[in-house]
Amino acid sequence: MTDTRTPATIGELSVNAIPTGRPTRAVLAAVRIAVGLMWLQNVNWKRPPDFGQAAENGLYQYTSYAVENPVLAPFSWLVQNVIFPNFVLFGWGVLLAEFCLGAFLLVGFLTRFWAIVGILQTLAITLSVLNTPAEWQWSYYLMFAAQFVILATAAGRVTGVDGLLRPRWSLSSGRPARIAMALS
Amino acid sequence: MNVVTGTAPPHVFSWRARGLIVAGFTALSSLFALLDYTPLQFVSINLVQGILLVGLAALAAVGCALRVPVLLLAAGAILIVAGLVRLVTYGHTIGIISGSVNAAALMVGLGTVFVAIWTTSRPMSATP
Repeated sequence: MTDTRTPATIGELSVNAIPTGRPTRAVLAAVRIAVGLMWLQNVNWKRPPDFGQAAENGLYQYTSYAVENPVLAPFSWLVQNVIFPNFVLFGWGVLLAEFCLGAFLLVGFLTRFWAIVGILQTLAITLSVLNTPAEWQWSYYLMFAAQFVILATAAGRVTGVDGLLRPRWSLSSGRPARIAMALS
Repeated sequence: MNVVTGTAPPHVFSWRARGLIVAGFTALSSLFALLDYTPLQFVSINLVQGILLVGLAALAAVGCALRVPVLLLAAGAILIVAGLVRLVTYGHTIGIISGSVNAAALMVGLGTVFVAIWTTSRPMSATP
């Protein structure tokens, strides 16, 4: 294969190189910590044992918005026919996911994996409440944006547990270490 | 200075310095969470959780000061267990130990950091 790069394109590459210095790394760590704190602060109102089902408040109320103000018809069907009949199980899943999102995005542990979980959770929230009156739709778009930044930049490698442990994982050929490398 | 690339190597903290920094953050996060100053109160916390965070931060700091890394492991493991216990009992009110689930998540996160720092205190070797 021949090298088709010209001096001009090489020059463009260097001119447009994204800086990876201390300010950039500090901002990436700050974004990750801020998103972790967001999940951490919002985990407490998903309250067992019924997650608001009896009083029709809390997580149950927010989930019901997907049916009352549909965003995507198949998701509304899913909520009505799958999630509501198994709401306690769903509630524990949400509580566990958001608990781990808060804990592990805050400290940068398996950051890419938790960024993906956060994106999926944001998708579920968006499909539930986007058309609810008085919701600011951009808050959900910004949640997506922040978590895609964390995913794309593997932000846990900066001031995070991933940055501490990846050198060790990289020296191990065991399956857990290889999985951890992929998820961090 | 790296003579090949012409760049300075990134500053690397020892496990003791990292442990002390995280112990400081752990103690401060407890005190910070006790402040009721909306919107800066990210995590609600009760007295027992606050004392546990400060006490285990002190244990980890002692481990760093005395070069006894196993104390970091102990502090981290206790934080993780305490956080997970509150998660699974979140539906119940158990007197004074009924802390918030936010603080429980914070405990699990900080406990993970202490365990990770303990891991880095051990010699690094390649495994087959």
